[in-house]
Amino acid sequence: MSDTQIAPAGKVAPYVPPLRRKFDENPTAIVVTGALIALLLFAAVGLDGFWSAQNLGTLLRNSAFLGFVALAMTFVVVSGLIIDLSVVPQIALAAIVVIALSPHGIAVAAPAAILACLGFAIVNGIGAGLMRGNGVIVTLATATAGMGVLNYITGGAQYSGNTTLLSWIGNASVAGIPVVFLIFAVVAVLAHNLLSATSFGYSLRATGTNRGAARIAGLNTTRTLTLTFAVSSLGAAAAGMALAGYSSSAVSTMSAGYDFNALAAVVIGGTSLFGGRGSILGTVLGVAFVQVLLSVLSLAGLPFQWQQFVQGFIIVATLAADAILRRRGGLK
Amino acid sequence: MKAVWGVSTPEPRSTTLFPSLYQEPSVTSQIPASSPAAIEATGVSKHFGGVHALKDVSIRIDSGTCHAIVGANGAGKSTLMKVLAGLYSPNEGQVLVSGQPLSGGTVASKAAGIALVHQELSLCPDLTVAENICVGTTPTKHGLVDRKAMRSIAAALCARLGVNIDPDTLVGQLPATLQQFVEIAKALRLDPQILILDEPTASLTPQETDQLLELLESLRDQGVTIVYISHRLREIFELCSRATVLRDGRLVEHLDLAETTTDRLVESMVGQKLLDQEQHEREEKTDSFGEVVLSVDNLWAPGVFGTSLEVRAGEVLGLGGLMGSGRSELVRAILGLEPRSRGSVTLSYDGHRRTISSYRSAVRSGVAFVPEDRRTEGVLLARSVRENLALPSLTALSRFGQIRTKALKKMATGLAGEVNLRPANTSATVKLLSGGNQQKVAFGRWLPTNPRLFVLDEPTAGVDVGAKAEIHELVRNLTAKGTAVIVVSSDLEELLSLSDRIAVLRDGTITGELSAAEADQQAIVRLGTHHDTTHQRKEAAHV
Repeated sequence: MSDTQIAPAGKVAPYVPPLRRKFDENPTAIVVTGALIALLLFAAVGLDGFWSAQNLGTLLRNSAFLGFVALAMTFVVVSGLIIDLSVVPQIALAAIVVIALSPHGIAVAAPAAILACLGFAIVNGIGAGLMRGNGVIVTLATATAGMGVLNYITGGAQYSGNTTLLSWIGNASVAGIPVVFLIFAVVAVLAHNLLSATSFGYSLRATGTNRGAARIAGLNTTRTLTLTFAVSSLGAAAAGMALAGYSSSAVSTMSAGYDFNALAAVVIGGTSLFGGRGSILGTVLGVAFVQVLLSVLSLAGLPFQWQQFVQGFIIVATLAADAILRRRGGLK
Repeated sequence: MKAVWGVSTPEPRSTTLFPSLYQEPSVTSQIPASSPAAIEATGVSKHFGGVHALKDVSIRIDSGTCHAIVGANGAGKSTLMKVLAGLYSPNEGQVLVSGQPLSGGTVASKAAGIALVHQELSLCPDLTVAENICVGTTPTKHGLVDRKAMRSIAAALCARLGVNIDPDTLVGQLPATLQQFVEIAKALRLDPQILILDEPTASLTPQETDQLLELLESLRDQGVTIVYISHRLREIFELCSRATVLRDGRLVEHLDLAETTTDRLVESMVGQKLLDQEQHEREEKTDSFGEVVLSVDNLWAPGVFGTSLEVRAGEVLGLGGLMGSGRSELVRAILGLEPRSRGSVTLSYDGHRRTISSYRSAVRSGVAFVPEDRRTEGVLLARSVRENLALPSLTALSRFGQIRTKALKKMATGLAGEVNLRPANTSATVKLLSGGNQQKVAFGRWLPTNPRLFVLDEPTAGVDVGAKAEIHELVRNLTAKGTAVIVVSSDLEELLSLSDRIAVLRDGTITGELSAAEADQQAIVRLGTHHDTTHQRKEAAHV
């Protein structure tokens, strides 16, 4: 009886089954889990080649590439900044820098790629943190400007090259599981800890819940938001370098769509677009759902344009379902 | 028998509250029954949810007179105005306009000849003066707006008010005074028989106020009935012949202003209750405090005009004054939450002097702040009690950036006990707590930081009586430990019982300081309201 709750005088807390309690906390994640299982069953029965080792390897690898960005995007959404659109040029930038500097070795190329991405974080932090600009608009501006500069410098050229370490990370498998996915799994655990158990995570959730009240409580919200953009830049840099290692090439257009796909994964995972509330586990689930759906759609032979439509539709449907489920649960 | 007018048959309660009533029988003088009433309200009550804004208020306003409605903040003045104007339908009682019952809604009240000038300007800054005046009643010709007619209507109204305003000017480009006149011109557009004004002089300078008062007098002479709300007692004595006093949503009395003094009116507004208790609490207070912890020198900021003050260790400085007098603006400027244009704020203790340049530097130097608006600034409603309590102490609670969960739980449980949080469950969401318990969270979270200066803005607004007493006890515990405290409060009883010294503000400057021994409600209201020497001379002439 050690876990018996002591309720206020005369009142006994009603028993809530564990699944029901999970559902109340994050209804979207439970619904998405159900949908994911249904999707996997459908793929097992109706689609040839889904369960092939090759397809599964591709699926896990793509999940990792998107996953790095989505994990970092979770922090941006929780902070109340809604989205970091500048991840698109940052992914391409990291890939191009790491490939271009690959002759100097990974010890030079990787730090250079990360530093280049952090430049975006500083500008974003000044715009949305210090100047209190809207996160969507500020990152739209840095994304557009960044992409423009990137296209000008590279002239749209494709860069080739690689290092042994990057190539191994991007292509090798251990016990049938791609190395890059294993790294993603480790990063996910670290991200979960960062969001839920650190001083930065507490500040971030408070700032995302109510920036004004967080400031009155003595928190440095400008620093917290700038650090959030830095986390986002690290995610983009990781995705860019992993993609470069996988394909041994980089081009400025390689990262189109990562912003929206990452946001889709975060939202499907039950993280609130209003800020303050979010879960890394949910984002991992969201990444799995998005990638499985994309894989099923392409195996089913749906044209690319329809895949885009389905993706957009799923996001709107998730937001609507989230709002309805939460209102019913009395949480919002 | 229910007294509809005056206090000729006061309820027993009022005899104990206002013994002076019976020494001055002239105050209750009846007006002749034959005089026509422009508006008459009988037994009006209005409540919003469980909050009673008005309780059984009766008032009769004579045709062609200026009638003042006075009372402290939250006395129900604005609600009564809106009931009289037909914007609110009363839950009980009825309103008669020229003998006819008033049905709710702005259309009905316009038809009955009532115009209301709101406390906040209701003009569109990007429209011209003529367009603003004619909003909703735009003259048309062949289905198109008749701009010529609109301009002449506006010009005629401005001429009637005796102001020279070009009807084609954008309202946003006019100074505040002229905007106020446009607002009144707009109210006069439909030729109202009754004009109700809610704090029309709040944004005006003394000269502009005089101009407005002259205008209102001339309107009165033209036969318009004027109902006037203002905190500025001088205006009321100059303009109005009668005043209705409200307190806590109840009718106190009707006064004939020609036979009333300022002190008599102030006493009627604030009441006499609990004087003995306050006296008792004040006698217990000492005046031996520690070193000066906070010194503010010639501070200028938006709404704060050259203010200096000092607070000593273990001392409670109360900041009094009416709503809008600059109390919150002053503390926010001291804390670095509002930009300052001039002046310095220093915190000194343990032989160190620290300049407060920003809110962050204030918090780092040992300042704690409980803001006025609990729900948007005081606490994070959507987060747990534990997270809320942790925020000011995150650094102390973390090791290598990692929050020590055990230490956090221990601290939260300890604080919940210290401030007597109910329920004491620290994993509950703050949204689900009562206002008083939310306030205890907003207060208690600062205790582990061991603040040297604690600033409380309206610490017990919307808090029940029990929690209020507990919060007062917490403040006394703080001063016993040598913390300097600043309390801003609209609740005069709270201000008097907590403060060792009270500074009263008006229009962004401190108009006077009262020691605990000399402070009472009348003195605070007198320092906080406008009544200058000209009125006192007038008053002397009356006696």
